[in-house]
Amino acid sequence: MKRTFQYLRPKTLQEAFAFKAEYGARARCWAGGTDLMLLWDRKKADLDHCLDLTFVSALRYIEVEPERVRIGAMATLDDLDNASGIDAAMRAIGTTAKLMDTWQTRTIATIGGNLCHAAPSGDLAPPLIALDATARIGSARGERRVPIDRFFLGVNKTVLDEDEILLEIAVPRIAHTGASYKRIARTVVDIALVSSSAALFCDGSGTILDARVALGAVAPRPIRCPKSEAILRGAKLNGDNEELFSEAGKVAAGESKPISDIRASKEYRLEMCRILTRRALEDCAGQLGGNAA
Amino acid sequence: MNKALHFKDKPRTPFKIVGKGVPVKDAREKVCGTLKYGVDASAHGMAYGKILRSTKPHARIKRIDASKALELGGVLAVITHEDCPQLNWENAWFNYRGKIMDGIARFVGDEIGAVAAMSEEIAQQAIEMIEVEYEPLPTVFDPEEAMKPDAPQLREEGNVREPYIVEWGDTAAGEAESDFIVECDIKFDSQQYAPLGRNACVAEWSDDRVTVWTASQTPSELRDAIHEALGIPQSKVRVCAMPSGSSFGSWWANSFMVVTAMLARKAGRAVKIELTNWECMATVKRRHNEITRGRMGVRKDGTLTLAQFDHIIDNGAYGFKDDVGFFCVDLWGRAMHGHYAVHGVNTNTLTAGCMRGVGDVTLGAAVERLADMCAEKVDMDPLDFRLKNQIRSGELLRMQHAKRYMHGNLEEYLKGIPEESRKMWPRLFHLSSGSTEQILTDGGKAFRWKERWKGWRNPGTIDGPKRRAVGVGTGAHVCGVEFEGSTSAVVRINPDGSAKVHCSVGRQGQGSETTQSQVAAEVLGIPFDRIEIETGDTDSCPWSHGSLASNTMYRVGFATWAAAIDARQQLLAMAAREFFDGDPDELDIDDGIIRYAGRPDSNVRVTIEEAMNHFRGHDTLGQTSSITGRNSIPMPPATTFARHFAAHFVELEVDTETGEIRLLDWLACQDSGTVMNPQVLKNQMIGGAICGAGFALYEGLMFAEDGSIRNAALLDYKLLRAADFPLNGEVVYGDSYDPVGPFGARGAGEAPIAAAGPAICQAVYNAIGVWVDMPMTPERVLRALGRI
Amino acid sequence: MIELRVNGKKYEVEARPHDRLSTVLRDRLFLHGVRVSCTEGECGSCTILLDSVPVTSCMVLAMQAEGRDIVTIEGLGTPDNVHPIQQAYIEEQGFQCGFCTPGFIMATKAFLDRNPSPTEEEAALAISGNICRCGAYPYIVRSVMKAAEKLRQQKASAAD
Repeated sequence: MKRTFQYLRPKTLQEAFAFKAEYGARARCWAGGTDLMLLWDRKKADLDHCLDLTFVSALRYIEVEPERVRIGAMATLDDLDNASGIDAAMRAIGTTAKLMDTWQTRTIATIGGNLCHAAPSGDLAPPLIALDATARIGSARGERRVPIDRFFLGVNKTVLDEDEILLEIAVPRIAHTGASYKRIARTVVDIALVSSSAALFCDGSGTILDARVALGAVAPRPIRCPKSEAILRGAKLNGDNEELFSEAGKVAAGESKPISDIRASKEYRLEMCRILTRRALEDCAGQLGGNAA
Repeated sequence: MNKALHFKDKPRTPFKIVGKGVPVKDAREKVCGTLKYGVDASAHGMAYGKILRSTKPHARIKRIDASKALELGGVLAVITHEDCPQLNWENAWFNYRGKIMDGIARFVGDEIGAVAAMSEEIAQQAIEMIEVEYEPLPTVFDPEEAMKPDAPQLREEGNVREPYIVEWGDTAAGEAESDFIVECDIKFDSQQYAPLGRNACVAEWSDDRVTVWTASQTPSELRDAIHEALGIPQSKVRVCAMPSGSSFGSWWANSFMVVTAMLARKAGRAVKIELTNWECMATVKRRHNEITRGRMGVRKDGTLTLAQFDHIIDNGAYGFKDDVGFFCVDLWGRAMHGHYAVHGVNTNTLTAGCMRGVGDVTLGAAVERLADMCAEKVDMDPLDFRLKNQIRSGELLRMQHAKRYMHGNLEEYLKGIPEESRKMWPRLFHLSSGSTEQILTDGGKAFRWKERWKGWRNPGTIDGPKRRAVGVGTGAHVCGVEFEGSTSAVVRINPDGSAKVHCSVGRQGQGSETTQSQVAAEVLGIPFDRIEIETGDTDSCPWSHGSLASNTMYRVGFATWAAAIDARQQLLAMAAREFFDGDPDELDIDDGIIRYAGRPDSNVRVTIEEAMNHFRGHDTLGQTSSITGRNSIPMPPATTFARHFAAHFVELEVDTETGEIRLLDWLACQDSGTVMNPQVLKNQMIGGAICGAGFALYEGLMFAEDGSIRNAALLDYKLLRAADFPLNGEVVYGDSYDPVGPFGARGAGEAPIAAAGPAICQAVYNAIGVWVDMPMTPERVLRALGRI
Repeated sequence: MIELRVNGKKYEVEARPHDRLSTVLRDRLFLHGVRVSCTEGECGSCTILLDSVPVTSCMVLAMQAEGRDIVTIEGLGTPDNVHPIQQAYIEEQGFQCGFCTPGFIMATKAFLDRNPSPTEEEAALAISGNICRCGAYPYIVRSVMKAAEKLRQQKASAAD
């Protein structure tokens, strides 16, 4: 028997839900498919049905609302890059997207595909976690919302049930936000060897009301660093936060659980958690400079 | 010989086409995507082949059962070791020595069988249905382990080659004369050709004769390889070599090509085997991984007293090299005493072979590092230290392996050369022309080296964790080798006044089709665009070593030049008789028109087309419809006097917190004698720099416990991209003139890659104060700094 | 059978669900200018335009391209009549072996459509989705800059 799969082409969400309800896990969503293509080719993924979402136009959008930016799951990485101008949060997401893959792959790959692939090194997850984004998930049964932080269960594992499809990511719009993503890569096109993202949410006087730090490629899933965040919360940005940020970086590194692999050693990743978190925080503070003084 | 066309020194009158940056002949085809490469080869009605590859690093094939595969619909033929003739064959320069499928697998990925089927997918499916029972044999993956007497042996000759030794003076004396001694112990990772463009081979038999279409830099060598491996006469093999993607030595005569020929014979029809990217990176060849332990000595006045190196090269499974033709030995040959020993060793890993700048990229980098350490000891600027200690034109060469490899004894060899030819030969074993002197001087000025160099371990700029510094590196390589035979070419003048060159070279992007045509056009006085060239068909191209060892411009160029001279002389002899009064030596050809040289008043002019038509159409003594020129002037042994040189300058920035290195500015300088085509040469220089920078920063194969390769894909074998390298692309050319090479030109493609790594290493050292082994990944930089 | 629209022409072509677009373009429509090397979206050699956007055609199913507008290097210019971008690559010698060149040129086309007056740095980043193993990058960037100039001139003279 020749190895192949059945191709399904829904044009509406309802059709997509119906296929999912019928075939469940045997139908994998092809949301761009740049990861799935490789997994299938290398026989690391099997699927009976390719549920191609390319033609579900209702899933490709970036909507700006007063309270949030809503990103359809089929928005491409290139779309995210082009939406960088919306606000500080979207700048962090857009510049992250621009670091990913090649341009001619960013035009195919989607935010939904990237998140559902749930690679430990996935670039979009850390900034979305730092920015407290929410995933909207749907199926023929209805919809539910999950904070991105709780979306990932492990390597290639998410909270999606067999019949569910990721529909949208909502990124809150909060005044006085600084957000940054830092990573180590080898050449200009690479997957992250290790990454850190930070977001600072301040009041008008530069006091940190809330802080979030998330790390990538240091655990089976992207992780948050609550201890590091706790150090930052309540502090005031005054243009000289070197010690605070260094400490937050050091604590974040302590919260990571990296392993050694072909791309980097555990030791290097630990050290980079420290450096990159500090640098991400410095970047956030720099963005908030006008409000912080 | 026509004296007007042989210049031991640069002529005063400018060349017509030599030195012009004409676009390469296949430029339009390349930008339109119409040029056909190896992967585009096809034959009518062809079947598709796939190779069964060993999953074990070292094993005897106990049983191999293809009966299920043969039952699969669409499967045409299967071959295993039982179908193979068990004849030894050799790839050029010992890049392979052994048998195709002899019933023993020697690395993970080794060929143990092949299937031909109606489609690639069926062939792949059939491959998976072949049952193989292996009898595991003991393995060895570390070259130093493989050298031990009780190590498992991979081949009948044993794992270890006789050490290849170059020595002069007395190292003990050198040590005694030194004020300082410096040492190194460096392990070099293995660089992968990463040949973008992959390759395929189509073979088709007609009765007992096989034709092979594939991309190869060495068409003649490939013909000979198939002849050896299959045991059929050379006349029964026709190779039609096609252009390849970037090759760097990857595509010469490769075992998969021989497999294709065998499979096509069994299938009884044309078969195409197209390699996947994984196969290209994990089963063909790689640069040797190498270990260098060295010492150098220096006197307080900056004179090098000692160069002593012990160097191990891991040949992998089927490589058989005992030396790497390392010309850093010559470059730094002014050292008073020297001893270099090279050990070739086999292991159960992917075959290693000659990759661009072989030896000079590795051992050369070690020598450059120790030279820099010497310079620092005596507090000399590295540029001045190179000017003081590097070879100059006319000086003695240390690499004298011609004495070892040339047939018979050298004196007798020389006696066999006609007196007239010998007069034009340069002094053997002495550098005939060029050096690093001019390019270091001119390049240093262009780079503003003296301003930007701040002293050893003194970065020019420090900005928080980021440090900037400059570096200079040098490299040398040969200009072709002759130990496997002399190079020939044929030049034909057609009745319409156009001409065709036949020479067996590769077309891997180095512009040989263009530069060879420029040589012929200059000699013949025929416009460049009326010169056509065949480089790949062994039925029409005479034997040549091919495009390897920076051979193309120098030795093939010489043959093309000599063949063109022969054709020109024949043409002028007949023209003189039929149209002019006098000596053919008094005639010249310009823009396709024959006339008296130096007699502008004469209005006797004949176009080549008119002359040729006269020769064929009239009752003349000519009686010819085309003229065929051959290279009747013997080429002196290039290895004994010709080298090409590169000096590269870099400015870079090291982030001492993350270990990341960013290249900021680059200047590539080259002495290759006359620049045949600046458009071609600048690309060779910068291209070499980028490939060398890749090796310096990221490129290195990683091996698993079973010797297989963990990063045989571009996702984790990182190649530099446009934004990773400085954009200026400036180059500086030396203007030396070679007494032998065509119109003063020499080889070009390999010194640049050798110079790039050392420049980066030195700049990193100046930035952070520690030497880092290549590839200088961010992690290695931090480890060298002691930060992790 | 699916219908593909390539370089302005419609083709009925056989495509299985798992066939990559690059496979169909090369093996069934014989568009050999679509170069395939890494087959994992790293090298960019197989870059084509899909609805005017550059994509690595090895990373797209043929099915995903059904009914959409495909442009390959063959749709840009011919040896007899090269496109200004191709002319710029020839003049600056922005290649060596030429295998990757069609991919670079298609990326250049998409980039200059989006950004007609780029800086060198922008150009370098835009073409960093393509690998040139020969290392012609500085001259490729020069080719992009020269192509931009040619296209601006062409536009200006068309407006006159």
